[in-house]
Amino acid sequence: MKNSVKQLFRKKWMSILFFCIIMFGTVFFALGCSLWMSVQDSINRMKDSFTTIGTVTQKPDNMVTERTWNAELQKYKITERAGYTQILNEELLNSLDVTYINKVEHRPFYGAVSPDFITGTLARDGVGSTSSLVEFSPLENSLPNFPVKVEIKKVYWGDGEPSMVGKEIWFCDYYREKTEPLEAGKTYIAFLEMNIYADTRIEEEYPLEYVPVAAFTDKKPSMHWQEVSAGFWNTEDGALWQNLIDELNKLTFETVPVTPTENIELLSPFHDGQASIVEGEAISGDEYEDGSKVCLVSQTFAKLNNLKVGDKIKLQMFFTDYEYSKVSMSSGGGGMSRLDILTPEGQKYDVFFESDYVIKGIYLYHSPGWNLYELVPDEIIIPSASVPEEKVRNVIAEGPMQGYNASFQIENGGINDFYKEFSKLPESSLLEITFNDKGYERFSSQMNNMQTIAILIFLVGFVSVIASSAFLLYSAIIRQRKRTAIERALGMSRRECRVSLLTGIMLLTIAAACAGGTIGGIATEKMLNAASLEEDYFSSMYSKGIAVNKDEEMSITANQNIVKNSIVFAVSAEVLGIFAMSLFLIGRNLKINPIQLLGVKEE
Amino acid sequence: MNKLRIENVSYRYSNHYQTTYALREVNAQFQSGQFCVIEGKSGSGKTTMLSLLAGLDLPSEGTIYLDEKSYRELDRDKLRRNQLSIIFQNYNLFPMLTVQENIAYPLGLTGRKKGNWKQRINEILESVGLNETMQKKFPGMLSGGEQQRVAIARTIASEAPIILADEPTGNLDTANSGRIVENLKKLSHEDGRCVILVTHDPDIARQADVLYRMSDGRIVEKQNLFVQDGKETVKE
Repeated sequence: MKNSVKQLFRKKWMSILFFCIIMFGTVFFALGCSLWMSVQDSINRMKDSFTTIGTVTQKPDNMVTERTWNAELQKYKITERAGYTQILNEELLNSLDVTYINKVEHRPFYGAVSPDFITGTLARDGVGSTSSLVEFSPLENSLPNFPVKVEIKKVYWGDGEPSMVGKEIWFCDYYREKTEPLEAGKTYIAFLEMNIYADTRIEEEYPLEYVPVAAFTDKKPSMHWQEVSAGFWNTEDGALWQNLIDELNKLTFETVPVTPTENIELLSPFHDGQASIVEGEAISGDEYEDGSKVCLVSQTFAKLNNLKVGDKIKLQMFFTDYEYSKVSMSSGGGGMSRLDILTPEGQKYDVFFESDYVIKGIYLYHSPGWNLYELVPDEIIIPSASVPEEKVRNVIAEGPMQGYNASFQIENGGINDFYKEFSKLPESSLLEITFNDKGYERFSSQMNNMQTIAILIFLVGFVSVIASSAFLLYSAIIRQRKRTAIERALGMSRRECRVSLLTGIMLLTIAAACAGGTIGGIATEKMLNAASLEEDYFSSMYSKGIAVNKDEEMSITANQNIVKNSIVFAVSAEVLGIFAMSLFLIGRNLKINPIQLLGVKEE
Repeated sequence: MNKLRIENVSYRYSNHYQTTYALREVNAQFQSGQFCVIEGKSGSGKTTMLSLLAGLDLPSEGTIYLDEKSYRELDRDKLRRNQLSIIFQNYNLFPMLTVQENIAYPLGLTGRKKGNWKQRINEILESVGLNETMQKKFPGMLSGGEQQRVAIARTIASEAPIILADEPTGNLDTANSGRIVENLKKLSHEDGRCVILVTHDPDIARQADVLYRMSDGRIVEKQNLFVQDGKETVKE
């Protein structure tokens, strides 16, 4: 063994050359291996962090002209707004040959009475706010289309702090050309909205002007206000007003919006990371599928009602809205307000579905700023299937798919395939699809680049290792056939001959491979750290992006264990490969008869 | 006294088309103190015979005995290490080991590299006509004759009782050739070893105690010129 090492290292320059080429080969080989494995690990680790959701918005396909009287200008104002001649069904998209993780859902939201719980509606509309249902008395007779000062007598809905009762405000039947005059001293009831255009002509001390709006558009479209005379509440109109008062108060103080979904990832705030489960768990795939009676509640709602995970809440759904965003129907503190809360006949909607729901998780939501995609403070999320389709009734608003209520999930990286299929749809021009993959495409392309680099380095390393090994084995074994023959002739057994040749080769290989592996490991960490530093934040917001949430930073990092393991793997593979090849070649050397080999006359 | 006996030994090798006999029913006997020569032309089978004698292969038929023990029963690696030593035409020294290390190599294998072995190597070098200064030199720095003498020195150091020499003078000039043969004869006659030399050189063959002449894998002639007890035996 000693002689073996001696013979190898006496060829000093050759040994140094072997050491260097094996070491450099190993550097590339180990670097390629560890880079490849690290990138693969990053992909595996991070690919679950990505989900690709698409939102669907039906584009308006016509313009609707509206004529509104403007009392101030004493003429009709023509306005045009976008409209739809047809409402497209989500099944159009679901019939595409696309692999959906979650098919397109056009989500409604339900209004659910939750009588045992306090809703988040502590803020009240009133003076200084935008709308109220009040009884008032003019302080003087009014002239049509002119403001008149009135005193608020009663507030049935939308009072504030301080109360509006006893306050004097300006009243103007602003949007109607022909109105009846109000008589001083009489009492009237109306649903008032602040006239936001009236600022310029209002005296300083009465900065607010209110305008009555039609509260019963289906039943009595022209009824903007009514006199409250003796026995009014026993009349048919009085009953209508009473229904409206009751339902508005129910809506604001006892109703929570309930969002049915097939996956919370389909809700932008959850997908974007603005909302996350902070207690309990998310609803599982099976629960979504089975329609389990489980729900997610906001931390605000849970705190207000001292609720915890596992508690039950009773939800009595009484209306369904397919059109509006909850946000546009809610005030800042929670609670909703809308005038379409009565049936077209002016009656109250009955409860169409009622069930106890177990709180599975509590979510925390950080609003990025007002937008239609937002969650509202009392929002409760349930599996879609928990409310049987056939039971869903009381649809108070139907509208086209909008980004905030229509979304789907596809596989990461499937955007192009989706668009290919989508473009075949005749109605594709009427639909706008917006994808948010949380930056997956960019991440994926960066990872692919890194992987390509890793593979190239790996291949260079592999070829270098093969070439250097071949060179080493040729010089140290094939060209040493005579040495083996002499050793055999001197009486060394085949095993001893193998050990004799292998000792030097393996010592050199192990030393060079270890040195190369160490350098490769350091280089990998440096490369990955450099890549990590150069990495921008992957967007956690919509592709159309509003803001970037830095908490959601995701980057490629050097995992010490992966780097270590891959280096060990690369070095071991190389050493074992050379060992195996050496054994094979030495075996071939040993097959040659020493006498015949050594007896050949040298030229 | 070591006695090497070949009995009805044949050796054949086959390929897809034919079977060739390298040796056919060869009988021979070699003893300690004899300088034996196997003479023959190229392809006569003499190298095959040497290979079989070295235990590097076994005969297809027949048996080789060392002191009446069949090669088949012996550990032939041990046999080469302890009983045999081979000298080649190309010297076949380890080029990356010094003269001293080359000579000491068999000592390391047999575990005899102990005590004052360096002194012993000096003596051996001297006995083959090389001086002490050669010790640190590498074989490549020596002439052919010197290298062959180092090879003989390695054989001497091994203390093997049987020496197999395959054309040891093939690469040497007449003067060096004569010196090598003298060295080998001395090993047999003075050290009592059995030297079996393979050659095609009739001059060397003439100096043999026992001469086997080979042709086409057979021994065609045996001459026993061994001087024993002062009497020269007659050629057979």
